[in-house]
Amino acid sequence: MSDLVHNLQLGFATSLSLLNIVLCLGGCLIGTLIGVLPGIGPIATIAMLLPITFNVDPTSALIMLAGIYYGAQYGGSTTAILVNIPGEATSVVTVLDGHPMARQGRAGIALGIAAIGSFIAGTISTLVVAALGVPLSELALWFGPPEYFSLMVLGLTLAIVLVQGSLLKAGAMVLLGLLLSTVGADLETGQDRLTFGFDELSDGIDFAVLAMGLFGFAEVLRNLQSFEVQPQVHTTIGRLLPSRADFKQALGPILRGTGLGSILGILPGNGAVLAPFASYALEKRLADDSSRFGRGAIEGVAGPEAANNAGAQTAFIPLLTLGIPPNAVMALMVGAMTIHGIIPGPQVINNRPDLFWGMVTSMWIGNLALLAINLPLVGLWVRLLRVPYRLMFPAILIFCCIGIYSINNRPGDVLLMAGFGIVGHSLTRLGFEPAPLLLGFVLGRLLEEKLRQALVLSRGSFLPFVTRPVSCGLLIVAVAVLIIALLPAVSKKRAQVSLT
Amino acid sequence: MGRDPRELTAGACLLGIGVLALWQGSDLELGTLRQMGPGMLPRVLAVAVCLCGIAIGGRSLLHPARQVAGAAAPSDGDAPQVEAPRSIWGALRAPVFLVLAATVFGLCVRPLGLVIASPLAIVISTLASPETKRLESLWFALGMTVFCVVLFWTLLKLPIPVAPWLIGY
Repeated sequence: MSDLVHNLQLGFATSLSLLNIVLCLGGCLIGTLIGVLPGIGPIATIAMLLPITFNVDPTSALIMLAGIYYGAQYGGSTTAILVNIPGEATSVVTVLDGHPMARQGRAGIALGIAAIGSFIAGTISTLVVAALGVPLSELALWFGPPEYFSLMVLGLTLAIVLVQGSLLKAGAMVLLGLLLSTVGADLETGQDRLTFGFDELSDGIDFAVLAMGLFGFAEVLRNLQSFEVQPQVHTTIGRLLPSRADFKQALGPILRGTGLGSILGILPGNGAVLAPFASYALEKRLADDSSRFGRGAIEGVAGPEAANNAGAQTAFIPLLTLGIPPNAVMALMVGAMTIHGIIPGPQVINNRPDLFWGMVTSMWIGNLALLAINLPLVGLWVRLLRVPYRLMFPAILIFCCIGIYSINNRPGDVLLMAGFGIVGHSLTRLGFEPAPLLLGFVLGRLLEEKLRQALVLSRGSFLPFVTRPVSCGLLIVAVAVLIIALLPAVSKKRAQVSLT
Repeated sequence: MGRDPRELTAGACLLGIGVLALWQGSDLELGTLRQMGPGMLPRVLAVAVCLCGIAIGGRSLLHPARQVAGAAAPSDGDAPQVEAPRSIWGALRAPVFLVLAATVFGLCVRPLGLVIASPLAIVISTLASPETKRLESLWFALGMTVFCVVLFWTLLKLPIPVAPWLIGY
């Protein structure tokens, strides 16, 4: 316990430096901004801002990028409540009761309870991250190469299963991502692999190029081809603070949502997106009068909002303790860490405690900042919704181009990014999800390295993967998850859930 | 017996990528299980991708009437369903101009610097949307260029050539 206090002290000392506070605030603001704007999401933004973070030290870089991620959760609910359009995939559920509340003139209360609920959830889940951090990483020190391999297999399996759509297609995407990660010089022999004779590819496909192309560029393409109507905001905001009665009604859902979100956020495979849905379903079932839901029930806003913020915080746990990214955004963080020379894994807590604890404490600072600035700035966000997309997308494009060029000063990178943009767009049109591809790509090198190490240690035998207890357990879970997802009842449920 | 053309195309694309990877990696050493060579994992993965492609394409041939779970769903909760554009040009307009804009930027940024490459790229990219207004795009391009130069060069000190023909960097 005193260890925890000591660690938190270290964390606050790191995160309360001027630079880190500025970056945290900046990240939260940018995050809220893109959360509000429907045309762009945290994945694309973080990919675009990766090159900018190269000049600062890794802790500061990650603090800012993290701020963007959970800031976007706050912003997405603003659009959902005011405009009936979810700004982010996780705000889809907030639309159901948030917008009816706005139509009843209670928009301010909805926004207020969303912000307060998110802050409570953020505080509690930050404590969860802090509490679980050290034990989990100690557990991971028992991990040898076979265990790492099996853990990554589990992570990728969950990624396949929790993503919407055909399992086979998601699996194909993971495999494609793994294949792309092998492009470049082989780790052990230095031989060029799959480079088609291009020297530029000797270093492998640049992570930022792939990320920006697949998510930034492709996102712009997709939006341009779907003829979105400009959102209309036509409700008054009204009072911002919920009444005591409102708050009493909302407290239970907030706490339950926090619990759900905290657990689901840890699950690899974008479990955090499921959290608001689960919370809504739970609250509806627990409510005395479930017919209120869909018509402006405050529980329908409080629970899911708390859940999605808690999920966003705890999604950092597998990243910071085990080095396994649970979703595409965390995969970007892995990329950012690697670029700064930090190998993600359980050793991060011991080798760079300032990074871990600095991030944990800055998450709480960020949540506090978001609570304080979001509500007064609602008017600003509403005005920004009026910016037409025809002006936004050239800005996004030029940021992508400049960002990519600044990494290696290679014009070829910009072209490669455009190429991946086309690829990403084609993938979506063909019914594939790009997120598992990114996950596969990020984990590919590490996966291969661990596999090779394990096979060398076992002299070519695959037996240790199943005889060592932890590894065996992980693989069994992976297989079980796959089987469960293939059961007809479950696959119908997966088809019904419409989310990212 | 209607085949699902999208699924068939998807499967064919995967098969194509897998075959391409197999061909490119054919000269790499496989090694043994005990000592994996550089070629082993790429080959295994390429074969797996090919198999997926065959499975997806084959599935579309065997189950023509079945709606594949989630096949028509958008990949982001916030973007509405992708509409089929009215014409081939409508479908190609956005990718063509965006790729062109990025290409022009890539080719121009080193010799001509940010002050030329940026507005060029922005103006070209605005042609990707049918809602563009010409004069507005020009002003926007100029304004955006100024903003980018200030942000990326002055404030963030990124190593990008700004105007080599004017100020030497």
